[in-house]
Amino acid sequence: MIDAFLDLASATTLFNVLWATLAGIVIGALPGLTATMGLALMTSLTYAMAGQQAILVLICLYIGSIYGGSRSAILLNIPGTPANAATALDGHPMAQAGMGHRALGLATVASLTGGLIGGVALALIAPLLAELALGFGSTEYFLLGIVGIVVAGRMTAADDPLKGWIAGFLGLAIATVGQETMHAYPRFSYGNLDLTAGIALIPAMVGAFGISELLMSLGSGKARMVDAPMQATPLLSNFRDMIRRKVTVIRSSFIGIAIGVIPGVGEDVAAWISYGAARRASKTPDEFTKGSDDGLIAAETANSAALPSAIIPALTLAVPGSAPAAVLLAAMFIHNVRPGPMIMIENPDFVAAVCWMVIFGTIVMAVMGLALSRPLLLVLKVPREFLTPVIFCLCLLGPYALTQRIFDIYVVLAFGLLGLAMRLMRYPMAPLILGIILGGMVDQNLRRMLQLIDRDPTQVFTRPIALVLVAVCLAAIFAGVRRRPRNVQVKRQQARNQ
Amino acid sequence: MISRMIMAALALTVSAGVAMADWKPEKPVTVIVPYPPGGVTDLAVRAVAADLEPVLGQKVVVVNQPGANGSVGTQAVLDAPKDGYTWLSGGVRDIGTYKIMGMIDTTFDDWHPFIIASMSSVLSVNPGTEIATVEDFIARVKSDGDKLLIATAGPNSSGGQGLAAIATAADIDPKQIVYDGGNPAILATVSGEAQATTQLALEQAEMIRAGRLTPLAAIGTTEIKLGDLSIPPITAQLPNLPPAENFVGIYLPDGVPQEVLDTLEAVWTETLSGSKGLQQLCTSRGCGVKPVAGDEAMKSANPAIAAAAWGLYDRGDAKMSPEEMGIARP
Amino acid sequence: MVSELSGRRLHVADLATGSVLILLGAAMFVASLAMPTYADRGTVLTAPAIFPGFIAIILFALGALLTARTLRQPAPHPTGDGLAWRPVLTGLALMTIAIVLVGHIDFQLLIAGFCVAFAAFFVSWRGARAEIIRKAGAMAIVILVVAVLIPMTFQHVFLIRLP
Repeated sequence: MIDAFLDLASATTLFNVLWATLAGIVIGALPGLTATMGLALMTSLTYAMAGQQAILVLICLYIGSIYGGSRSAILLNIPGTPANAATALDGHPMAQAGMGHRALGLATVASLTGGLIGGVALALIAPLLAELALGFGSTEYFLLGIVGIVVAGRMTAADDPLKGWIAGFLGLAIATVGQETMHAYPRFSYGNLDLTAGIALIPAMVGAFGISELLMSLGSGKARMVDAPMQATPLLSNFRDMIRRKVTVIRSSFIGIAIGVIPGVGEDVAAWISYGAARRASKTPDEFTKGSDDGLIAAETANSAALPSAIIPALTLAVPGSAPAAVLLAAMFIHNVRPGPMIMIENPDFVAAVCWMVIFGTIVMAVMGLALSRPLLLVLKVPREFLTPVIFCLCLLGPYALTQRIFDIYVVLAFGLLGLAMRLMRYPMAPLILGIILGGMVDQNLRRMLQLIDRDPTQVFTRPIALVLVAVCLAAIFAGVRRRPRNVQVKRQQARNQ
Repeated sequence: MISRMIMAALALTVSAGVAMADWKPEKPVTVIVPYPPGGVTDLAVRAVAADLEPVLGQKVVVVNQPGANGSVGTQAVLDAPKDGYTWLSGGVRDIGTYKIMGMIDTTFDDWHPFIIASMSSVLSVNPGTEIATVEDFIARVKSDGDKLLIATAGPNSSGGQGLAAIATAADIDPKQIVYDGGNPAILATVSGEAQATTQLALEQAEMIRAGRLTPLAAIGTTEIKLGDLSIPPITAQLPNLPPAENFVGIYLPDGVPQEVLDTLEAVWTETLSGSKGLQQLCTSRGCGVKPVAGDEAMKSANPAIAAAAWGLYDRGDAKMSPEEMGIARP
Repeated sequence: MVSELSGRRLHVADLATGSVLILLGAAMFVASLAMPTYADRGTVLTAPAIFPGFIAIILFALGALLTARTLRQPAPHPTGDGLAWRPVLTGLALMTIAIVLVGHIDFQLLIAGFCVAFAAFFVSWRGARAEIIRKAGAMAIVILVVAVLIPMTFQHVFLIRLP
């Protein structure tokens, strides 16, 4: 471990960490430019670098972009990457209340803590965790997807979970469009090649969050993003606030690590599950989605802790834990590192080096993030009428940049309209996006699960993880049903009194 | 077709004497990988792109444009300006069968292939099954039926086609279980959810080396070397196996300037043969470096395409007969 | 600035969405029944229709729940909350025109045109001469940023071809 540190500590390393992390923050903060796209691009640009430095650049870029996404989520209510959708729920209301500086700072210290805990987990228990992840079969994946939708629907629309679930299952329905992978049958495509390819996640997300946000805010004239006077918050108080919520931090880190290590399920799902758990445990659940410290910390700690954890299966099983980790895996092969079950025996130094890379990147990310907070806050002071064209331009170019398809630009517009209608009728946007993310996973694993049950019916009762997931799912649904009528009644009453 | 072959032959003779590249790209070249990042095509293309950059004197940017089994990215290259700056990548079997699958209207004759490597599948089992030979495997498929699940990434993936080839040659009806990619299929075999897999050697390499999968045979006519380990070909047991290998390559659409094709053909074999990244990828993970362009590439690709096309047709997945496209039954 | 619907408008909107979801669920279910099952490949349990069928049933149930719940509540009296629809529709029209034109004319020109049109509709050009000049200056900077700076960054730093 120490050898690996000495090996890595050099001026070149410092320089690469600095620029790569900064580039990551910028890419993450721009709506539509995601960690996956940034990594795929940077892989092309780092062919010529020495292997270890190239991997370092990519890991720092990955860390920077997942963190950078929280900047636009807090300031603009447009999550920069899918992993930051839960961050926007509490971060943006905080910024609107004039506490933008505090929200940015709190998200930064939460990401720092989550990233470091995740990095340590990577160092200590990587191979063990990867083995445990093998226990996740088709049944568990299917249930995890359903739990994700139910929890997100419940948490984003607490006073009316029915609307959250409608949004979530609408997302799953949208994910059915296009060619399914088992028989290559094009569902709901009507011979159209673009539909056969399905609705891509990123343009849908940018449209639903970004374009609909722009449309809702039009006509507010000179209004700024935030009218309340802005308060500066010293860094120390951020740390104090976080330590006061240490239980949330620890819980979220563990959830982040646990979800991140599951192959194919990444930072986005981790943030949601952690957000749901924090709300369930909170003494003041009503503060959530209105600017809760716990909510913001839960989301940002979990997505940062999930990141190193998503690298674990990539390193030890050669199976990526998330979409960006898939690109990272490809880059490792290109630079002659051979991840897989043999890596701990053949190349333990590399695993140690990766841990240091994660730790370097996380620290530099926090330092840069804090330094950038004040300049970024200026965005909130720009009148909307000037900000709108800029964001619109980014919303068009970002999703296009990913695949360079014109069809994706139409998807942005269509989801902007859908998002506007849903917002007007008080539907949360995030479960819709989560539904699109999880659709493929739920679909395939549902059908595989049926096949496996058909082959061996007893396995329904012999899978402990599956039974826990079923219990969580039922709890989330029925806790909601009991509470709903009263809340609705109160809301109607208020509506009538207005 | 014949005129194209003559043209290609002419191009070869003309360009043979030219050592340096004539075509000097003025802006970055884009290679479209019509699959998600991290897959076989992505790996091979990125390794080659790194070595083409110094030769062409420009960046070679790899863009992943996944969707509909690669047909979206393929259509995008067909729609792009034919100026030589947009290249396609992928497997020859896939490009050769889009039309008979009713996906997009293109045949392999519409492309100028530049082949990078040959990819073969391996029949492997979970060590817990205690299957040790191909004969054991065939016997177990016959006796166990539904209890023996074989994980692949879909009927049209390399794994699915490899399994279909075994099924035809051994006259068995193996039970396939489909995963959303090569890696998840292999992981399911390692964890015991499925009992065997027929995915690419490249995807299985690390699990085989770690002893988490037991390789029974290479699905093809030649042995596969994974470092020190050599996996014998399945044709020892099943001599009448239809061709099952696939080739990964880069393809330029008809209509690009001749000088682009000439330049690439002139530098292709030499650049790729000297590519350390590709060499490393193939020796450690069981693919064969096969840097061929033009006519020779066509000659390698055609039997693979014919086998794939007729396989699809015989299983009832094709929308038209390969005969209508001029592909004779092998 | 538009605000979320409330009172009677929300009541009507909920009824409408409920019915739309019921119809959508039913339509999806019928469409799923028409899909091939691929039973000849060994089992019907991998049929492509299983997942959309499952989602269709849930959407149908959720729509029915929403409709039933809304019907149980008395309809609130109409309130005179005027929504600011004009700017939203104008903005929507501008965005639609811009998006439809992407790929047909030069991207930088298009986005500059969008900014000018946007400024003409949404920026108030009344007031003192000095203030108008200030606003025009600010808009010029915005146009510079979106039509030159951002596209250049994408093209030369991220190596992306503009539409």
